[in-house]
Amino acid sequence: MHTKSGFSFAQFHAKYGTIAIFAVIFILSAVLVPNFANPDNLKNVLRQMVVVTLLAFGVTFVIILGHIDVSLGSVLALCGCVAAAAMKSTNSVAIAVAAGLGVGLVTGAVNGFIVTKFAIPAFIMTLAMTTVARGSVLLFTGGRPITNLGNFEEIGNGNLFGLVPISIVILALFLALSWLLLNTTKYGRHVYAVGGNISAAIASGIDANGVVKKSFLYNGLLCGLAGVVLMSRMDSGQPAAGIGYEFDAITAVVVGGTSLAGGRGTIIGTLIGSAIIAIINNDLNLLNVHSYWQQIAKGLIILVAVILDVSTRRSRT
Amino acid sequence: MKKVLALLLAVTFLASCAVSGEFVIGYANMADSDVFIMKRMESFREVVKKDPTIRVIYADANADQNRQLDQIDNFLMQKVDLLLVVPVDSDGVSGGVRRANRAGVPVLCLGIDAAGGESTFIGSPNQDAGRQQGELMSKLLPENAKICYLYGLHGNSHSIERWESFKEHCLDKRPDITLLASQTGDFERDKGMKITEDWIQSFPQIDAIVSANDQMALGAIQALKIANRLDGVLISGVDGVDDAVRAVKKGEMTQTILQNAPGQADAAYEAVQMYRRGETLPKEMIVPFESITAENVDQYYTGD
Repeated sequence: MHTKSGFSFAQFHAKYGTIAIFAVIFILSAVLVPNFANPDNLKNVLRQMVVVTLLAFGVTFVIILGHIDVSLGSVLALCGCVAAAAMKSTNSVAIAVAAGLGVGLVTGAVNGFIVTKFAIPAFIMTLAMTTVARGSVLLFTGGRPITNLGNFEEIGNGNLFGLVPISIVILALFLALSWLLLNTTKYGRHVYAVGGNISAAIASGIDANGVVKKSFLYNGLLCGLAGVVLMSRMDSGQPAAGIGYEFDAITAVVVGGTSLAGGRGTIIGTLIGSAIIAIINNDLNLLNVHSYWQQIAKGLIILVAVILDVSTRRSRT
Repeated sequence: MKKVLALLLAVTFLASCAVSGEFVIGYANMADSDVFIMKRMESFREVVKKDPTIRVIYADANADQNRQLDQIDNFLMQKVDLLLVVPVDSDGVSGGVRRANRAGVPVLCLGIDAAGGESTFIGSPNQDAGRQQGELMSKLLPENAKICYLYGLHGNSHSIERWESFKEHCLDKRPDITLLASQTGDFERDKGMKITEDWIQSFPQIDAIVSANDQMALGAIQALKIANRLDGVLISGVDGVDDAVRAVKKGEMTQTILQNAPGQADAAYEAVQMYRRGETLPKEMIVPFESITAENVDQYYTGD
């Protein structure tokens, strides 16, 4: 970036991007919304954003590659219910978590394999996965919630040392892991390379299909984890849960500055994008805005955030 | 390979032909993903087993009225003897009911009445659920109580009817009660929980959370429990699903209004047999809602 004299909003935003938007929304909320800045409420917002943010971390990799995953919500329900069923039959949290993550990995492997093997658009593949996963979870639960799960709810509702919610610790761990994967490993560099220019990446000897498969696998893992946390929060396996979560997650990724065209994006951006949406949701509820208006307001705020982001990005290049 | 295919086709064809004397029912369900609606369908499946001459074909509209209309048309093409519909929408289903009327196929509407055409309504009027919630709340709530309300899916007649009759029998009769907030949780547990978490932040005192179904009420209980705020909060829901009855038994929930799934399935079976005996079907067969509270929960609680 070239140095210019004087303050320019475009320059400011280009430099600080979504963080600036986040800061403005946070400060406005703290000033204008009663109870928002209350530490209890901030913890509440953090807890509420865990599930969608986990999904968003995973799908960030997929989106940087120029792919998409629209099956997040139903895969999450499938994984969460399998975990709940495992909990019910074994009464072991470890087995339940392993079962949920395992199903997530399998769906991720299937998505990645078919997308690369048959070169079909990820949108179509994951659209098919959406109905297959939702059908499977309904079939497997008989449409009934799985309840009476012993101490399963500890994951979503418990506190570490009686202080920090376990779900927030999980979020922090996977924030770190996702960041490290994307920023410090060869795999991470390859994700950007393949997403930016796949022909060039292949020409330079990168196994592009391998990178795509690995990314869907990681995405599936996080989807499984999100499912476990969500069902644990509700202390039950809910087969109908998670409807529309993929759009919340993808919105968070896009608001966080990741390009749907691929090649560009960051984990921190996704975290901030997710926080922006969680804060807006929280604001609207705290202000008791009628839910018809909530939908309109949410759509407009997201639109404005993305327009701002795109226009300042353009001014940068 | 070809032979196998031909054989398969022949078998499916034979299987789909009505065996003479068989009575075929098309069951057009609203959404197999809804706990209560599923329970009613399972109950019907059970009760209909009693009669081996009845065969039921099921279809799930996944809460999409347009898809349900297509499914009704398919049933009529298959020449079913009777149509059992759980309408996605009271008005939206009318076209399908009229087409069945023209085809001379009788229609039973389960749970939700069709606004147009000729059909028999079997179910529990939603106004009664809202009224029973309203009556109990206006009796139990202290002077100047503060409450929150969780709506169901917007644009859904259940949701509107339950809310309006709750309002009429509680808020209109007790002007001292403040409605702090009302939001929609789309009939889902996770959304009911999330909204309640935000309410807990906004309101230091909540005396009751009234919900248009049990799933959202159970989400509210979960949120209040985590915040250590459940004590002294009255919670009321609708449907009488197993989890809710258990919560009433445990003293976490004040009331659930049982929408009697087996009762509705029995009534539907009864209507089918009436029709087969050549009797005229009534305009409606009402299966009353039943209010379950700590006083009578033992009659409904079946244990874990």
